[in-house]
Amino acid sequence: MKGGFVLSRALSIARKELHHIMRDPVTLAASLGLPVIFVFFFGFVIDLNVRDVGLLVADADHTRASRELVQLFDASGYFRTRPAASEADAVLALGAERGKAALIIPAQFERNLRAGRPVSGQILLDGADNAYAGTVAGYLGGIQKAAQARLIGATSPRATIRARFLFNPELNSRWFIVPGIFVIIVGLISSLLTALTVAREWENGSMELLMSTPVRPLEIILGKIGPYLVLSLVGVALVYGLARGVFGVPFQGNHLVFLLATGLFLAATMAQGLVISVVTRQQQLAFQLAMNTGMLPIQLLSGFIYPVESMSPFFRYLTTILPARWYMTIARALFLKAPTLAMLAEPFGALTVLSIVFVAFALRKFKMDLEP
Amino acid sequence: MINPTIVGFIRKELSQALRDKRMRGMLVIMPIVQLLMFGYALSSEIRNIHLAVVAPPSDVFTRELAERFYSSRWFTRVAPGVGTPVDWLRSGRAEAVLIAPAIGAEKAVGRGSAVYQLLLDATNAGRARGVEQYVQAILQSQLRARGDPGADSFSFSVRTLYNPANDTATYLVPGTLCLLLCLATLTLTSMSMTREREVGTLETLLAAPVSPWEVLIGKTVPFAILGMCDVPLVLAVSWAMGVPIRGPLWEIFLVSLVFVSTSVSLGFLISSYTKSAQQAQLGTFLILFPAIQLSGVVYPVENMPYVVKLITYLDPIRYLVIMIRHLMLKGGDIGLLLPNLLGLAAIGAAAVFWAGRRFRQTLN
Repeated sequence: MKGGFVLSRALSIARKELHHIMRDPVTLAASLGLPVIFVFFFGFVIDLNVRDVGLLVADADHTRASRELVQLFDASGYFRTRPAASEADAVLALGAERGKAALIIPAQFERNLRAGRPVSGQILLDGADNAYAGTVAGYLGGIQKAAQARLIGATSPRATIRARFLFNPELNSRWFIVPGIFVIIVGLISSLLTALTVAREWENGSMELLMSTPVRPLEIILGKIGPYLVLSLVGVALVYGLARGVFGVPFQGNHLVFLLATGLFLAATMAQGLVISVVTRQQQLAFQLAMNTGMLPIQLLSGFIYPVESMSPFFRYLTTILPARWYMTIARALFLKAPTLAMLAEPFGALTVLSIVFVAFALRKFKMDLEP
Repeated sequence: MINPTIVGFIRKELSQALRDKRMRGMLVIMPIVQLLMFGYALSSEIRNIHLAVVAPPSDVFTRELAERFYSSRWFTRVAPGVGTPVDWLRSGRAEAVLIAPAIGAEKAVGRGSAVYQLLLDATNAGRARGVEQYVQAILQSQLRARGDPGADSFSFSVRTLYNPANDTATYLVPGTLCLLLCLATLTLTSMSMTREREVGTLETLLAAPVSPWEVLIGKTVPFAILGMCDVPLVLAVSWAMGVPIRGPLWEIFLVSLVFVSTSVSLGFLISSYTKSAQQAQLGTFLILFPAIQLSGVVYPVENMPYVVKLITYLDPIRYLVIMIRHLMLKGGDIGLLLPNLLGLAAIGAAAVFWAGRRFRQTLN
């Protein structure tokens, strides 16, 4: 009597779900408004460039050369210098959070410079704040070059390197952050919504009701998730407009490829939400699991801030099972780098495989859960 | 004097939360797994830079330079493939491409000077800047090795305090620990009242001869206890991972206690405003997600726009992160701890007061 998959039955479930969503303004606002608000807010908030780094200067030389070096730090726009009596004093001040870095200029600094001996200024970084220390270290290159020219005069080494920064010539960290936070938020919200909608059906007891009807599990699930997929896609479109319109992030790639990748990614995250809701047939647990498995790993392991390339090999391989990691690569490439589809073969292939595996697993899990 | 109502209440909540095997696992195993994972996985050091070097085969200078790159621990060799260098960057095959002058650097140096071109994928601006620095530094070392008088004689020697070996776990564990503590307590508590309301036991509770404050305490203290149980656990894991704990333990516990109390009060507040479990979960997400973003664990607070920086003063995790990082890696500077602890306590007090008032309104 129960035949195979019947589209009309799935559609009626979808219609029912749509009514639910429309009637519940909170869900509607969450699925459309949240991504936009979060991306907007955090696109502005997250800035990986540091400015006004409190730099404690312990100058044991007190010469024109040492003062010139300090001036270079001041003029860079990244640092705000403050004198410290000695190296020990500077270290103490860092310990009491009265500065973020210290510059120690040794005695005989100028004399050694004049004599043509290699000289160095010592930089102490506050290692307690990693995000900060890394960025500050990044600024030293420019200052080193300037100091070399200013203190020693223009030298002409036999080989030089001229660097060209492609895809983001102004080194705008927003271009990196906005596509990234986009992936994080879309992923989190879609998996959260899916987990909730299925869990709610169980909790209300209406899942039993659905099961007693001739509707098959596959139809239930597609019917329930379909509307959320559409809703999430609309959310993605809104966020895309925000990234381009407000943040001025260019989009170099192909929109069709982007849509395809987004569909795959959403399928994977929704399947994840589905598995969570099946595994924990209780809302509190479903939520705890979604939060715990979702919020931190997706942010820390997907390459959003900490590049996957820098991870230890074991974890580099582990991240390959995260759809967000691949979608992140694809999204960033599409926004900034104008890749051809062939260039995206690896992340695209991985994302496709993951989506299929996740969806198949979720469906199986769900069917087993429903069929006695 | 111990109030028997409250004791009974707390016992009920604790057994309710711990009855579920998966919940017990969640409380114990999740923090450990995540701490281990992030402590070992993440690195803020720039490593594994995929670099391709393009030079004519006869170019000895470039070959030596390339050897220097690949024998340093930062670079990974990428063979030049088909297509243009920009294509390699575009497809992500390479992250940087160093192109020698067409006649070869060896000849160019002989004629006067060689200019290399370095193409960098600047999608991640900060990393690109770091990669350029490494490349320049290695060229300088090659020039010095060849006795070039034009090599840079000025340099910075950089030392990272509190974490001289640049150990990743030391960097990330203190911050992650704070996030885990918040996740565990806030999510548990935010459901507590909503659950009563949904199951229909709220009316029973209202009819029972308990004061609003007793309900508030009974609904928050158990979760605070559970949260505090996580503290020695995560500290032990951190210690096992080699992360130093330089400050006094009692201060760490005190700080955690104030934070956990704040966090459960906030959770209670969320749950007093929401009518269904779904709303409670969305509410938690709405609070938790920004709170984590603004806490300074993942990106520095100092960089945020002024107005947002002011908002971060409302974020309890922010205070915790500052204090835990300080206590674990540096020690206990009371001048730093006290204002942060007071700030956190003020938020906690406000949350408790608000939650109590809010609950009394619900009662009437």
